[in-house]
Amino acid sequence: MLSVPASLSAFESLALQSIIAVSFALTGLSVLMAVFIVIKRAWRQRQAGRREKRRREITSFLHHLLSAEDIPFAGGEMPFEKKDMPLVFDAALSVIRGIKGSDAVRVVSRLNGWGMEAYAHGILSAPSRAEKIRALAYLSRCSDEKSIEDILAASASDDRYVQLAALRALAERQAVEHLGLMLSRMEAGRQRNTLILTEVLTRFGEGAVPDLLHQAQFGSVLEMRIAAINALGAIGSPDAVDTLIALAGALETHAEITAKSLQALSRLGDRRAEGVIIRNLSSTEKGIRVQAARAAGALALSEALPQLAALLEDDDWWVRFRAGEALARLGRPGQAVLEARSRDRPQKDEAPIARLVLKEKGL
Amino acid sequence: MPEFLADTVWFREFMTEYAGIAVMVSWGILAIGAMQVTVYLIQLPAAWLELRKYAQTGDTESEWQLLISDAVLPITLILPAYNEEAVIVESVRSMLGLEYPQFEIIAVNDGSKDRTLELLIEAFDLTPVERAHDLSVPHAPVRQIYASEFYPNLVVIDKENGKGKADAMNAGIDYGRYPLFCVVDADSLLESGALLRGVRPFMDEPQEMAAVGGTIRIANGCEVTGGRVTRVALPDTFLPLVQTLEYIRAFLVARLALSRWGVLTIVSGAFGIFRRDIATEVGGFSRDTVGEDFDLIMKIHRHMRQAKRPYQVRYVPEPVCWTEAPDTRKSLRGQRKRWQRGALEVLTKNGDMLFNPRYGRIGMLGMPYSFITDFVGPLVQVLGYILIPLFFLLGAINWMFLAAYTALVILCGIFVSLVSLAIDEVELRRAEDTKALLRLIAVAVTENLGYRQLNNFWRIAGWWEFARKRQDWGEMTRTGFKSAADKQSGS
Repeated sequence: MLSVPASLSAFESLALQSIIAVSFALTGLSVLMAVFIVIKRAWRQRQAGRREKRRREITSFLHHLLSAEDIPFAGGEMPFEKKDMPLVFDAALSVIRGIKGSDAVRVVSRLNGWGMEAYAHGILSAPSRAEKIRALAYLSRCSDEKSIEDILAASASDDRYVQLAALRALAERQAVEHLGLMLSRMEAGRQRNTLILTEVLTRFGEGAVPDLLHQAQFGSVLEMRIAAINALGAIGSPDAVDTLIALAGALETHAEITAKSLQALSRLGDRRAEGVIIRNLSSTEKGIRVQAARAAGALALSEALPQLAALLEDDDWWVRFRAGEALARLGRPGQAVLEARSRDRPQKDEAPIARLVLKEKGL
Repeated sequence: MPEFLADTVWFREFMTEYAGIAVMVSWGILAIGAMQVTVYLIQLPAAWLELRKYAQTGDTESEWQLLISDAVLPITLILPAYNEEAVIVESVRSMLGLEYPQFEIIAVNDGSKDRTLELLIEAFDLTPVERAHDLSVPHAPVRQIYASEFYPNLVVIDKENGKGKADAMNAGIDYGRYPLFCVVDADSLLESGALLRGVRPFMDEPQEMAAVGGTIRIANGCEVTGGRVTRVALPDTFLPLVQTLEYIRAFLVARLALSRWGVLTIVSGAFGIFRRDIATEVGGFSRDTVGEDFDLIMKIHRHMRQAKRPYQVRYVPEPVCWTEAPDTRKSLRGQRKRWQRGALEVLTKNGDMLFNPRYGRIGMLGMPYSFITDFVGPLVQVLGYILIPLFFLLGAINWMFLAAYTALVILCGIFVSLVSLAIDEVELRRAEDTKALLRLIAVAVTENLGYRQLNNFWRIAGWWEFARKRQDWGEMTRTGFKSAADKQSGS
């Protein structure tokens, strides 16, 4: 106990002593933590060399397996020790990522013979999200029903990332018959990552179009509807055109749905969309006008020339710019409009967009 | 108490009159010091929990898949450069090699007086071009735009000097074509996957995410080849070494905790990703402050809160940007003074948000935090360094005050640094080996015995500059990154 000077009240001296004692205690604790992390690091460093050597051996073995005519160790005996399984799993994942077709079937079948699928099933129930995602990535390359069941079970997870990994695994398996169920589960999970969803949904290909059309029209989560529309555009099925036209033309639709439908239609390049694109050039939403102008340019809709010319005076710079770009894509008539407008007097301190577009495009 | 003073009448009278005030001042200093330590004690576990959540949720599969797809948000990388001839080419090369499906680089030569522009033109075979652009945010006039046939995603803007980084960044925003933009200092190198990781929060929360900050780490001592950090190593000299630890403390603990609580008030101008539409709505970077990064985030908070729009500003620990830290006392002092001045400019500009419930947790938590750490903190600490020993020498306070204050300043400082380091080690293991870890531990102790105090004196100098309304950025000399060959030759 520290001696307390008489000039301090008991409370004051207690407060000061507490500050000193707590400071010493915290410092002591942090020194212990420092000692612990140093010992742990030193131990890990010792292990790391061995682990790295073993990792290299395993990866090299798997690559050999990939290139071998006949399968080594065909008897099924596992050429690894059980403690190597995490390393083998890591290496297996990186190897199978880069292969497809019969090579993939051959390698995965051999790996499964050594218990890799069972290992993946095991880590799927691990609490770590990253482990679950890795397990799903592996199971996506298997071909049995049990792994499909596990993937579907994972899709019921309340974790958005695990759900996405499950969807990706299904896409890899081309198990399109389960897509409707997956989408309804993902709606419940409030999936919002439109771009990743789009990327994964696109992988299902043409077979997914009916489910995607349903999702685009009747989905309850805006972001998922957008992803479905984007995927329809990317898949490029003509079956999607009528629905996309209806979505782009519906007055009560959310502005983003209209804009994305126009974007998808421009990717599909179907002239049936001409009317809805031209109508949307005069939308009150700038995001819709931008997409309509891009679509008019992509489809080279010469019928849209008057509306595009009018958009060169739009309040929004992006609308003016996209309209200018679209006119540049309409060939000589569009360029003539741009040339005429490029002689306009600048608004405020800006050069006319027509002049800028002509210069940028080198016209 | 010195005996020659104790015997004098005037001194006895003085002490009778003012000793009480000295004790009160000492308690005030101790109370604010204890408050700062308490804030750290709350922040440390919050930062650890946040980092743990992040480390356990690594979605490497998605990252890999995104890389080979086009399902990412396209992004404009803005590289403001003023007299950066030592690093600019390597920096642009590094950006060109980033792993990201769709991005453009806009390097802005802000009226450099050296060969920054010439070196860019030579290295990337640039030719003059025209580029349509918006005038959504203000900046000094552009002299010429350059592009390269060989690097279609590289644009170089040559503009008149705008008296600050904000002006150059605004030009980059105007000429950018993508929905996101990322600001990177010309003396910085991004890790190859940094953009994929940094953009992910925008993809996860497409409607709400307004800005994301990543981690800045010190590149002094690392080997750089082809614009990439190829071997991580600690700096050889004390000043960059101590900054390595400071950055761990500032980014890993403070920003991670603030991000967890939704009260992050700064995204570093050295590496931050922003939504272009929101940044232009608030007028881009302010040109009247040297704390333009802090200011932009405050403007976003103000704008979104006033408009009652849902939004988020987040810090993610692992898109990493490597930067060259000042390695001389003069340049470090200049940097710290500028940071302090910038913080004060932004805090006074946004003073109405302090404890203002209209701004939600930003007004009630974020602003008070910045006020304590950036406004009051350095003043009180420097006052403490001077007054507590002085009061003790004069006999106005007894030795326990001095001991308590020393314990708060030094022991608690060591505690905060060591625990920050432990969190970094447990979750990210960024120190390259045991020896490096031991060096950082040694620095965690020694930095509290002089460096931190010196830093606070520099911050007071920043206060002085702020009071005198100094506006310029000051000079910063670049030495360039070291390649393996440079390191071997010891140059």
